[in-house]
Amino acid sequence: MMAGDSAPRSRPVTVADESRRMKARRMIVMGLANVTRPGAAPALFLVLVTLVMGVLSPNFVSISGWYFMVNESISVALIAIGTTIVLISGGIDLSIGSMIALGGALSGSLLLHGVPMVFAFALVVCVGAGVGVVNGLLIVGLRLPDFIATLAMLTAVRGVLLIWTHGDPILGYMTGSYSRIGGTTKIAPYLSVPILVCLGIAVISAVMLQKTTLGRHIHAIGGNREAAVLAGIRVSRVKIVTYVISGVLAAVSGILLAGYLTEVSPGTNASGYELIAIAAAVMGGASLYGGRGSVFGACLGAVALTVMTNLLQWWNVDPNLSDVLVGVLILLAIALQRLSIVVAERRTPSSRVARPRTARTSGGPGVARG
Amino acid sequence: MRRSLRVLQLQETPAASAVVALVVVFSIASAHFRTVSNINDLLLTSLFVLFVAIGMTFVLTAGGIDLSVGSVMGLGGAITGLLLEHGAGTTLALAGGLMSGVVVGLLNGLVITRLKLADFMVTLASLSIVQGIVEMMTANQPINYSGNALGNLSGATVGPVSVAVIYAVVITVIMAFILRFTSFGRAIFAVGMNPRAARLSGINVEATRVLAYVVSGFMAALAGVFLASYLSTVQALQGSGYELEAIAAAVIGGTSLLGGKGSVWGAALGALLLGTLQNGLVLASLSGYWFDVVEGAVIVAAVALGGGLQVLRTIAIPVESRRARAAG
Repeated sequence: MMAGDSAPRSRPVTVADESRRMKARRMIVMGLANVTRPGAAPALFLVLVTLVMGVLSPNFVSISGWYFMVNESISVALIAIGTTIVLISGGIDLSIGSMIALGGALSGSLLLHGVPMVFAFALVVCVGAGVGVVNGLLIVGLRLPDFIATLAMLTAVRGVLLIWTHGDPILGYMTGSYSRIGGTTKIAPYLSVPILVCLGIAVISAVMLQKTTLGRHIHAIGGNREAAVLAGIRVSRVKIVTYVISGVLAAVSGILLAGYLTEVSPGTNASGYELIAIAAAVMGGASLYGGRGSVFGACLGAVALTVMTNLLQWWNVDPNLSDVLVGVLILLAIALQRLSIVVAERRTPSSRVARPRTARTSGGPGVARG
Repeated sequence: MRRSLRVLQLQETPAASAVVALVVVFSIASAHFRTVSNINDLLLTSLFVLFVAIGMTFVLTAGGIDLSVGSVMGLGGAITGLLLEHGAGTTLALAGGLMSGVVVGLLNGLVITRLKLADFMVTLASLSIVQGIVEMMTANQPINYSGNALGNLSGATVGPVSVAVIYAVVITVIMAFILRFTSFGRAIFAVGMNPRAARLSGINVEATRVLAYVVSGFMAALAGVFLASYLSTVQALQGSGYELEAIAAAVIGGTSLLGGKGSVWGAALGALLLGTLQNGLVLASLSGYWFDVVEGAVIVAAVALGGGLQVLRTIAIPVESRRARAAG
């Protein structure tokens, strides 16, 4: 395990040699452990972009440049927060893209019908919560796999939206106050309502995950479901709550995206956003196997993905090639995350001891009873 | 009694009964549905999902997931089309297209097993990468299939049945045989059920998983060639969304997302169920948008039904074992 292995050497190794090598090795390991904290991969990328672009073309990383890119990333950042919470609990929510489109279309058409903005937004948030409840009930009540239940909701919600709108885009709902709330109008220098909303939700979610009972229960369920059940955690209820949070955040994201884009096309609005959100959450340190995730890491991941596409546009990279590069960068980010796990295992050798896993027995208790 | 229990135990039962029920309902409701040419159409339009779902079944059974198949469909169609355009023979062009799917599957599998990265994220990344590559290949001019040797794949018929449908049946039988009766197929089940036990019993877990992704890439490329031939053109995005449809078909057919459980026949029935629904809803002159809602409901119903049968099974097994003990 240690650096000294038993292979024969041509030159006898002195103690000083050995300790120097150990020290160097420990420094490398410690350094790696630091750059592989949750959210470090996107943060590292953002710092690199700032440094390199600061030299090459300062306009790109000027304050207003950052403002526009952060503003653009808000709708993804919000759903990345929701996705992180669901991923920590060991679930996955694929219905997000359709829910964003439904939320945007609903808020737009409610406003067109003269419903006051507060009520319109409240109703949209309620619909988001409702979709979350349905997701949760399908998973907990019918015991469907999370992936399947939310996949079914992805197609079903998009279908409902298309039937309702006949596929016609929703236009003309933008007013001055909507563009102040959801759009790009600044309320202070370099500050918009979406950025404030997202910051607020990020802080609340992070505190909820770290400091509250609910947050600990979410971690517990994702870490070891059986242990959580035995500890008396109401797994079903907590799971439903995570999907409700995800649905509500998707609805808010839909409201903001509708303001940003100033129109909602029911067929294509936010399609594929669920996968972008998962990519952002995983780049920010969330594990697809549950138990781990960071809200601020997810936000950094969302900003990094937006900066990535903006950067490629800035350099006039063929938009098709940028698809390739985004894929490669996602791979690099998760490779870095994998490295952090390997490094963590090296640092604490005891964690390498295999945890006993319960073997799958087909109908075990049933057979024993017979 | 025992026989009926055995039918309940089959994982294909929910999908099969749903297909039969739908066909009966649509046949009664619409005279056009039960014509031979419509049934042939139905089979022809389901076979793209069918091929992708068969490949997906291999990966899911081995405990993985492959999200890249939608782009690989575009890649397979594009490369075959390009080779034909540049004067390659049909066999060479087809081999080139299918080989591109094999290469993507191989890369997926190697990155997942060697670097130990999450299969969901790796194949999500390669979905994006391959899509970009196909977009660059097809950016200047869409690749036209109407004039080339493979262009008539879906038009050619033997009697009332399309040649493509016959190919699909043959391929399904071969793939079902491979998964069910070869040592590779059995290794896939073992790896998906319990990787550690599989390793201890001498199975090369990594190689098996890589091969499962290779099968998935191959089948996706094959589906892409058929789709290109059917639509007589190749665009980068024409396979997009097939990954989720294929997963739905496989899971409707009783394949587990957790690995260790899967059936090629089930996947075929799942693809057929989705195809029948689409066909029937069009004949019922409902807007295509209804298909999305109904598809969601069918996925939920089929999987929930499968879960319900599982419960019945666990109740039934003790009865059987008690009988066996009494007999023995």
